[in-house]
Amino acid sequence: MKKKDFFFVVSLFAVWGGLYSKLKQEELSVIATIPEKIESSPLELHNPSALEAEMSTFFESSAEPKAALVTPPESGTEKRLGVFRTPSRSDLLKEVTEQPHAAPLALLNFADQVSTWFAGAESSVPLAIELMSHLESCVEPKAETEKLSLAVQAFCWETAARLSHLHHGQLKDRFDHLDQMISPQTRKLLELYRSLKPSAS
Amino acid sequence: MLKGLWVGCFLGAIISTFLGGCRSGVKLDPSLSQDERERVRVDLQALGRLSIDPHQSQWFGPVFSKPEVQASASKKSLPTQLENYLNDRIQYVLPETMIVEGRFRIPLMPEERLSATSGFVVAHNVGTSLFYQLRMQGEFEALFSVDQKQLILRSPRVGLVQLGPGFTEDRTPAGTPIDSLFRMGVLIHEARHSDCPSGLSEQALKESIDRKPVSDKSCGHLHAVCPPGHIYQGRSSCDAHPWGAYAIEAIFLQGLAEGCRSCTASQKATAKLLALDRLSRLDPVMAEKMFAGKLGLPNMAGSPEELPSRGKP
Repeated sequence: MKKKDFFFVVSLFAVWGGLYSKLKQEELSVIATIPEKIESSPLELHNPSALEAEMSTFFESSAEPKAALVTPPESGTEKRLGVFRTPSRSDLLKEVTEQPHAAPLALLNFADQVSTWFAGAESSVPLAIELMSHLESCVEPKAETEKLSLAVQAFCWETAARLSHLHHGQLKDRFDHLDQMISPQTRKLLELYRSLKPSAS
Repeated sequence: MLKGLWVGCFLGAIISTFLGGCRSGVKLDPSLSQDERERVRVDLQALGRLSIDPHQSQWFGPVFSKPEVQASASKKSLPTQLENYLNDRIQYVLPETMIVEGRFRIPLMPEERLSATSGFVVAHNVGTSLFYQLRMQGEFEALFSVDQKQLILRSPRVGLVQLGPGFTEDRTPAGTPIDSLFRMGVLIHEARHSDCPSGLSEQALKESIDRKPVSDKSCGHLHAVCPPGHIYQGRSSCDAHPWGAYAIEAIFLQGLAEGCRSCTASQKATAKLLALDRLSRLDPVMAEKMFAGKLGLPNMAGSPEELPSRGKP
C-alpha cells in the first residue's frame, strides 16, 4: 500500500470513529434524560402498558398543562427583547419541590424580562400595548390550566398599573378592566405589599 | 511634593478599600474556595454601598436596627444597620464542600444529614440545624471546629451559614445574571434562622424528638408546611408564625424595590417580585395583623441559651 493510501484509510477510520462516538454520546444523553422514577420503579419492562401508564403518570404530575405547551411564534419584538414567557405554577413548584429552601430562578428570569420590556415600552406606545397584552394574560389567564402564582399575578398587575400611568391615554381603559378582573387573593397580596410602606400605617 | 501627595492619595485609597472590604464582622472559613471567598467579599461590599431611602418602608428600622440605635439621635445609615444585622447572626460562612461530621463531634441522625448540594441552594443556616440535633440528643453544648478554633455551639446564634452550589453561579440556566442583591436577600433570610428569642421550649424539643411538626417555630424561625391550595402546598416553604425568615426577607426586598437609589430598574423589579413571592408564603391572616402592627414589634433578640445559666436542667 502506498503511503498516501494508508493515510487516506486512516483518516476515513478517524472520521467514522468521530461520528460513531458522537452518535453514542447522543444516545447516552437520551438515556440519561429518562426520568429517575421510571428507572427505579419495579416495572417489568416487557409489559408496555405498565410502562405507558407509569410514563403518563409521570408526565401528568410534572409536565406543563397541555395548553401551556404550545409556544406561540415569536413576534418581532420578542426577537429583539426576548420571548415573553410567564412562569407557570409548575415551573415554580418544580424548583421548590427539588429543594424547599431553593429560590425559584424562574422568578429572576421573569423579573429581568419584564424590566427589559418595560424599558422599551417607556418610549414606544406599540410596545407598551404589546406588553399590556402579555400582562393581561398574566393577571387574567384564559384557562384554568394556566393558573399562575399569586406573586407573579400581583407583579404583572403592578407592572400594568405603572405602564398605564406612563401611557395613560392609550392604556387607561384596558388597565381599568384588568383591575376589575384581578382575583381577591391577588388583591390581598398587593395590599400586604403596600402595608409595608409607611403611609399604610 | 505633588508626587508625594498623589502617592499618599493612592495608598489611602487602597487602605480604605481594604478596610471597607474587611469592615464586616462576618468571618470566612479558610477552606472556602477562591470563588466563594471573592463572591462573599463582593456581596458584603455591595451591601455597604447600598443607598436606600428609609422612608419607603415602615418595618426596615424596627427589624434591622438595634433598639439603642433606633432611640439614639444619630441614627446609623441603613447599610450599616444591615451589616450589623448580619454580623450579629452570621459568625462564619462555610464552604459548600464542608463535611459537617468532620467538624462536629455529636453524631448526626441519618435522616437529618445536612446537605446543600441539591437544587439551586444559595446558602443555608447549618448552625440552627446542628443546634436542634444537639438538643434532640440531650446535649446542651458542643464544639464546632472552624478556622483552627473550637466554637461553642449552644444556640442558633452560633451563626454558621454554609454556602450552596447556587452561591457562585453567575447566571440562571436561562442566562439571567444573578447579582449580589439576590444573594444578600438569601443571607438576610438565613441570618434570621439564627434567632431563638424565647429559647427552645420543652414542647418543641419533644415534638422534634418524636418527629412531629414543631408547633412553636420561633426558635430558629422554622418554616411551616404550606397549606392546601397554596402553590407550594405540602412543601416546607411557608411561615405560619410572625416575623419569621420570609417576613424579614420580604421587608428587606420591599425596601430595595421601593427605596433603593443605587439599584438598576431590573434589580428593583427582581426585588419586588421576590418580595411578593416571600409575602405569598406567609399565613395571610397572620401577615395582615403583623404588618398592621397588631402583633407588636418584631423580637430581634438572640437566644437565652447564650446565657450560661439558662437552658441547663
